[in-house]
Amino acid sequence: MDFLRRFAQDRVGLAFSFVLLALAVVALTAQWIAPYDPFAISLRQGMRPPSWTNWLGTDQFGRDVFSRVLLATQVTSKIAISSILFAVLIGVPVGMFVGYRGGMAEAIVMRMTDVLLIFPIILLAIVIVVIAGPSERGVVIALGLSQMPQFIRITRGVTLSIKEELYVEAAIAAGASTPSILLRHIWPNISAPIVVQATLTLPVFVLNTAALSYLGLGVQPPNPEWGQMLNEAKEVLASAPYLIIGPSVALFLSVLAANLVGDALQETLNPKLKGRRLKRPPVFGPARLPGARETGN
Amino acid sequence: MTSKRTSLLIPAVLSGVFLSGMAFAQQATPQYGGQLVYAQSGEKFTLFMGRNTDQSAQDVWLNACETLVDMNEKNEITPLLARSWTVSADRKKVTFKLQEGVKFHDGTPFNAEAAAFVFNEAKEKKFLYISLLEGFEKATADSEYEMSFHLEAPFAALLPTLGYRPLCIFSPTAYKTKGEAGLATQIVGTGPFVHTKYVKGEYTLFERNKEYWQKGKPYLDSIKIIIVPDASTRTAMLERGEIDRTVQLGDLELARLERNKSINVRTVPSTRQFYVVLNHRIAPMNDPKFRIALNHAIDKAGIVESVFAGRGAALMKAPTMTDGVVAFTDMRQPGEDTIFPYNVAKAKALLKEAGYEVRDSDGFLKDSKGQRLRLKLWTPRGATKGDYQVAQLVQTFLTQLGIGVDLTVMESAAFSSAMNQGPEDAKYDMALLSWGIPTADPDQPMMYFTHTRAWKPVGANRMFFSDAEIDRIADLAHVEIDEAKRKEYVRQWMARLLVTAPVIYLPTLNLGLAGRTYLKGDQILAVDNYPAHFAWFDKAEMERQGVRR
Repeated sequence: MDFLRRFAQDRVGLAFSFVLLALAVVALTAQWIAPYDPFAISLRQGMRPPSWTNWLGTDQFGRDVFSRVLLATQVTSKIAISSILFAVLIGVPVGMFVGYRGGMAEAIVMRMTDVLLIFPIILLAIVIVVIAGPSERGVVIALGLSQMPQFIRITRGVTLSIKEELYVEAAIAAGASTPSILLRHIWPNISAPIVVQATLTLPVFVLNTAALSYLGLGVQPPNPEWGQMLNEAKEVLASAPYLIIGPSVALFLSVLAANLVGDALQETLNPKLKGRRLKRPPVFGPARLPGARETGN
Repeated sequence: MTSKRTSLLIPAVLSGVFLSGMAFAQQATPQYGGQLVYAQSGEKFTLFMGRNTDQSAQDVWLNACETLVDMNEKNEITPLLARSWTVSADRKKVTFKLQEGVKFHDGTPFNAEAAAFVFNEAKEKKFLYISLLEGFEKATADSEYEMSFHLEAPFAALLPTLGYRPLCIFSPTAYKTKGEAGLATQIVGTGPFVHTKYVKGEYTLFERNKEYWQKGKPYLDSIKIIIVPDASTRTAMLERGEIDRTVQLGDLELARLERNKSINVRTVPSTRQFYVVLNHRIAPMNDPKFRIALNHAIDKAGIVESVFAGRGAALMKAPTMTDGVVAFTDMRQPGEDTIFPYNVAKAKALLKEAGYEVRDSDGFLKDSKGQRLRLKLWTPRGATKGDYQVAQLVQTFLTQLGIGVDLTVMESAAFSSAMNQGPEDAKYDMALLSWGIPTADPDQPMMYFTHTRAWKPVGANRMFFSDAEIDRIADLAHVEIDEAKRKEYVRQWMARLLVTAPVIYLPTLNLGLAGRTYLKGDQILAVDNYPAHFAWFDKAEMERQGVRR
């Protein structure tokens, strides 16, 4: 309750958390709330401007753009959340383990993450998608892998400090196993920065999903995705400028909402940072959590 | 000897006649000077004509490298480096009298020896186009300016094939000195412009050939061909006057461009037809019933309407062949607007005969064992206007039939490489491509597209289609000189294609060329060429439009 009370103090964050919530509801219910079948073509009804029948007009194939924007919300959410889970479920255990155990494993893993962090996210993602093939799964793997080093570094950093705490030493003295110490004593104390990092990574993944799809490397037709829809709209921009409105607004709102909610969450979980807005992860560069301790070897 | 003598004046006369009929004025006296900037969509992976048959490369070569004969806007053959030609009684030898006093850009003389070298080298080194010269035995230099083509059998399409741009005569001296690798970035021919610069992926620059053999030509100082992959960017550049002409326009933009009084838009029917390659080595695409069903499942008129705004493409009147190609016959049934008209009921019935039907409530097409039918469809994006959109619609129509179609959009170079594999290495089920007939002669599709001998990687038979009757008719037409008999063979060949349906036939493209109105004398040819080497600028109009070059 204390967390919610403190979170509610950030009015902007609170307002946009409702926007994010609304987007989540749209993502979960898109196929039921879409006014038309997003895949149904009507070739003689193509390129119709916005009207009461088709709120955002129809695309070249006569498909309802509004319905496709709604379904694209689901597709994008699925990819962004899957990518975060991919990065967290691999990056966090690895980071905890190497941070706790140290030694050669830590040296090797950290040098590998250093190498991966050299590359901008989008470049790394493009390389991975080219290898994995352009598809939703390819994008999830690409984005997940590209951000995994960041989760490894952050988790390792906070694990290094937590493992020096007395209660961890006490657990070791009591004969607790390594998995038990990691799960019962370290994870509960490092989860906050991980959650914040995941939240701050969300808009990065949304934008990069759109970027990859815009380049033709992401979601493949006929499934809609905002970046892919923008690319298609761009080709007929002069004749049908209205096609660009729906995906642009959706992309803008989701990224803005995720960023502001991430900021609010960070300030709530880390009151020391109150009053100064923090740098978010660069969209096309390695994402970095400000304030997270990163201890080098 | 039967002979056909053609005056050197004919090209000028013909061009005068035809160009006057075009929308752009030709009566005014050409003015000299200026740099033409022409934007193309695609990059050339090599400028050496022996290793490249890309359509867009042809507009690059024709500035600097000339063929023995040329093709005009009516798809008629006119003399170019060959002044005239005679054909022997047995039709196995064609002798060309060549232009005299012509020099390559490296200063070496153009003569019979040089011309013969190019064709003999093409055969020996297996240049990509050599399979088009089916039955070519050798070329000999009979005298300084007389060269003979020796054929194993009469070849009805020899002259149109010799007008195909990649068969231009490059300098043997430059070839021997620089090799194929050297000529991959440098064109050394006899053309009206000298190739002076090539920046891969950016532009190709040509400057006026002051020693050009057609006195008084060319009119422009230079031509710069730039690469701008995005159609809307090219259109915007043209509207702003940054470029003088461009091709591969978005059909949805045409109406808007036509309202611009400073821009001249021209469209002509082309010989280029979209089709979906079906890999016959994979079941059930080896079954003609299945293939015909797929042909009936696609709403071609809907594609023309939505993707090409009703004007950028036309419904097919015949398989592979289009209006304007020699010996063309309209193969549509009476009352039908296209071959394989859209008929979902017929498609489903044929699929049932082929063993596929919807057996459960899931709506998927399954065989008798309950196995769901799922196919991969590959497409490039931007290689030909509308390709990506057409592929999406093909996917949609086949999905509506209950076939699972996984569409993969591939980068052009990766797609090209993947589609040039032999039968054992080809990994596609289906792929969207387009087919043009640059020689405007049926020999090319008959011998190079559907013949068993044309299986990739040798020819363009990517379907790995094989039909003895198709091959027999093609072989007969290949050597038949009599026009009426040849036309009948071509008709039989097309009729057989309608029964075997080796591919999914899709609409025929209309070509579009947009240029500033001060640009005069450039052309648009149905064979997807856009020559501008004898174009010129109306300086006063250019000034009025505020463009300076």
